[in-house]
Amino acid sequence: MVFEDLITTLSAFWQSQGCFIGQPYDVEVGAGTFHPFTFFRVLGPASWRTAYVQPSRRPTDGRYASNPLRTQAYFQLQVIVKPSPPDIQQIYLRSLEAAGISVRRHDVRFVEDDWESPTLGAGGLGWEVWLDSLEITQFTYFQQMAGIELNPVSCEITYGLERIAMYLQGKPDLFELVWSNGNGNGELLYGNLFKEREIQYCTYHFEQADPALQQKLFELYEREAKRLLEKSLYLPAYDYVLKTSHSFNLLDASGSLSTTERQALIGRIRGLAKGCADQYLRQHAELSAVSQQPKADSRKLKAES
Amino acid sequence: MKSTQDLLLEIGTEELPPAGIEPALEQLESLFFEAFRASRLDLKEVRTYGTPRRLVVQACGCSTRQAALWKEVIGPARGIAYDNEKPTPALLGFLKKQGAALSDVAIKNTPRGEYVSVRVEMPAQPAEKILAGILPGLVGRVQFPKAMRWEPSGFRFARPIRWLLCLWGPKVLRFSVADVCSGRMTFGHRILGPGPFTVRGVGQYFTVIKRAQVILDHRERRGMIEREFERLARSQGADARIDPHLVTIVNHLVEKPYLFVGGFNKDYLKLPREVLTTSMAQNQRIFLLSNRAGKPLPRFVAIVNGVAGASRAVRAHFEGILEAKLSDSKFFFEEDTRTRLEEKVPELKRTVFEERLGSLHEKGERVARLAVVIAGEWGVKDVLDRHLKRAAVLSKADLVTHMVGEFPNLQGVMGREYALRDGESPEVAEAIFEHYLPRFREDILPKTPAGQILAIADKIDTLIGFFGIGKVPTGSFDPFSLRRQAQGAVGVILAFGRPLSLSRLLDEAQALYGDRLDAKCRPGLSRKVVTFLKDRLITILNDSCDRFDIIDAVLSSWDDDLVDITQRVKELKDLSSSKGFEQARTVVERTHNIIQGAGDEGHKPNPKLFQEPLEDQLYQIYSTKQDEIHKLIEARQYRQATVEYGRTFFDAIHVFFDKVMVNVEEPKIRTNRVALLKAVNRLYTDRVADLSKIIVSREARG
Repeated sequence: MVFEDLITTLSAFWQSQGCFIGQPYDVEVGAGTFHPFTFFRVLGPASWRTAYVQPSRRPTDGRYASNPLRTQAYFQLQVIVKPSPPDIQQIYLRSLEAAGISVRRHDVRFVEDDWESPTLGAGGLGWEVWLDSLEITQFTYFQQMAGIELNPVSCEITYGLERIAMYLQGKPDLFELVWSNGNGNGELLYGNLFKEREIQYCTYHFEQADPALQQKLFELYEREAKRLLEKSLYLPAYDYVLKTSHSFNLLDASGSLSTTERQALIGRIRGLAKGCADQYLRQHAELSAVSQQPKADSRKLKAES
Repeated sequence: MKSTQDLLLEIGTEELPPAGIEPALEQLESLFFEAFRASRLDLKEVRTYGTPRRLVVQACGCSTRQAALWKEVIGPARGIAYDNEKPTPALLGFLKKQGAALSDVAIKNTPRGEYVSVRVEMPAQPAEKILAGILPGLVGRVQFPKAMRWEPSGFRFARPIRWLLCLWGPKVLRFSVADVCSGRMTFGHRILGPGPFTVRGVGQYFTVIKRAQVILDHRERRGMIEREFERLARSQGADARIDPHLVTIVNHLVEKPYLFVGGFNKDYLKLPREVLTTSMAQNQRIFLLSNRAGKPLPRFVAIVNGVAGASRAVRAHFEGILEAKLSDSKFFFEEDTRTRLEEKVPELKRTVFEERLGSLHEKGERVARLAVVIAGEWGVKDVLDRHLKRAAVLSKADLVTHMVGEFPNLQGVMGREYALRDGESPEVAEAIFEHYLPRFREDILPKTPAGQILAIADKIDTLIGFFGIGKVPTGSFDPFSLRRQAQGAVGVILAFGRPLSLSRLLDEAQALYGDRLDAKCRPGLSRKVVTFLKDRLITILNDSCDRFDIIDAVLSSWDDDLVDITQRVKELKDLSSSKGFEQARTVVERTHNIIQGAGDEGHKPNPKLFQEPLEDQLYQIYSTKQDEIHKLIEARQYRQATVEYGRTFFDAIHVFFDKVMVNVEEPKIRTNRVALLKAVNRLYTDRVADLSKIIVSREARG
């Protein structure tokens, strides 16, 4: 199964499970969890089911394309099912079968791994799913987001698409993966698309990054996020939170942060994220209050309160 | 009806964290015993079994009905219950309500006067009714290191509960936990025998679960793994001993173990053994094979969850992943060895030990200076000059390497490895490794003098630092594992066995922090840490000495030297059934009793104030013998000192107490007598042990 087919197959599977198919977010993120479709939507009481691909960047994981498994950028397929149904593990295993992985012929195991993201103030309990000892999925029952206890609990399933494709195609190196059969124009490999990018970005992150500039950008993004939060524009504010997080990742990769600085910056990002989450929840509480009084004019109500 | 019955509870879950399974089973066992006892139900035996997806409790020989319980019920006051010896309607009403007869009535004296009372039998409920009521609460009381919520009730467990099977013989005990209702349905191995299966009774459960491809008993599963590992290792000419820690984890990752051998490129054998085993254990939970001399082979054993016959493809995948992981470790190793360890030391300035306690670089410098103090105390200056200073400088440098960043548990191990590659002496390299020891309970202790000194200095510095900013462990909250650090420091000091003054060491450690410590934490700081270390020592002493009173007696005396404390405890225990010990104890106890109530009058008696010849006599004995006893004590010959002390004063003290009245009216004389007895007491108790703490059994007292 070529890479692009894996994406469509898994997407179709989750679509059949009642998920709507989202699109990637257009700001650099480290994981699909940072997408507003996850970050905001797991908050509050409303049900939510979505699946989307999220290109993700992890500057410190770059290996100049020399490691067959680790790269500084890769693709996640992110699934959120809220609330989590009792048979969610079975559904997940069926999705592997749908993608062509026979769970009977492989060693599929759920291995304890409690996920947390200190920058988002998020955490949950769950597993890495191992396929013949390789982590192919992170499976998490979210307990907290932005430091807020979640109820209902959402289930987050994050597929590492490259790793699954490597199995399906029998390729020991992700850059040899076939992305597309090319409709008669010859195979298009993952390496054709991303190898040069991988090397250039590694060089940039590890050798050419300008920590002073990133530090300055961090401050500017932070200031803008705060300003927007003051205007109750939590959605654009959140974009700037993501930008501070990316600047932080670049600083981290350049090796220029001490442990304390690291902790301090993470704390600042978390504070901003919390601000966005609080505003989202406040607004939605107001909206649901309004929807319970169908006759009231929401604008008027807001002005009065 | 049968008078006993078997109960079976299976808590079906999503995959539990391996480390939580056996502790949960132990808790379930004791929760069952407790709950049965509290409900007046007997039970013969509790057996528990666990897999990643189920916790199973089998309670055998449970009584089917509660034991009878008689309860006294107080009725109306006697004056109201009887009118001229005749029962009143009040009494008759009470008896009717309790189902008792007039002949059952007793009169009870209470603080409020006389009342009538009857003994009534509490209704004995059938066990199944009681159990259905208590089981949900019992499941909820199992504790895990981390628990989660997954459904609206907010119930917490290590992982979601997905089914509950609960059988009472052939019947279902119905109850519900976290929105799951109990029944007679179970599920088997996720892939090989998923089910669901209906179970007719307790006995049949075990057959069903076996057919469903689950090895239920974790002990049996472990045995299977160990035997098969041994067979495979032998077939490869390898050491057949299995890593006991890893096997415990792996055992709880599978319901049906299947083992196979795989291989990897010989090139990776250039990586240190610990890197290979750590990468394998952490990333893939697989076992490195070594030859019988302990040298790694390019082979591993993997354990999978009963994949039918583990195909060649599965093995190839394991090998491919291992290749990628080891190539990552090789990348780290090569990056790390581009510069010498020494060159990494300045980077420690940017790495924080603790925010208020400064960088790791500062810690390294303090530890180096503290190590010099210890080496001075122990008179091992040669060690100091040759290895200790160098090892102290380099000791923390591996914390900024890529390898330790990836595998934090390799701290020290990588330091040693990189030091050797840099051409540092083997002693320096070993000391770098050893200064972290012991890393956990039952871990090895440092063996080289430089390693021991650094290990003590490192831990003492940490303890003073955290206590000095008020971060003191409370209850089970010990986020910086200071108890483990203290336990380690005590262990190393005792293993080295040389005298070491704690107060001097701690004062020095405190001084090295300068003004980094909180002003309000500084007064009495070193004393607080001494007490903390003593608490750890007590747990160690308790393991080897069952006489807690002797430990208490010794610790109530001079406590500045842990090695000396241990020696005194041992010698006094050995001596404790002898006549000499008993004599010394009597002298201390008798003098203790009399000086206890007295004020702080000092212990220098004035011979001019003596009035009785016996006072003079006791003082003479004291004056002539005190030097001799002192010398024995100073020479740490506690056995002889104790015997000598007892022999010297036993008779004299007896006569003295028989004939001399201590608590006389005249304050000057009284004070002087107390001072004399205090002198006798302190001669021994100041420095050896306060034997008044010794508990004397009744027989011994005669």
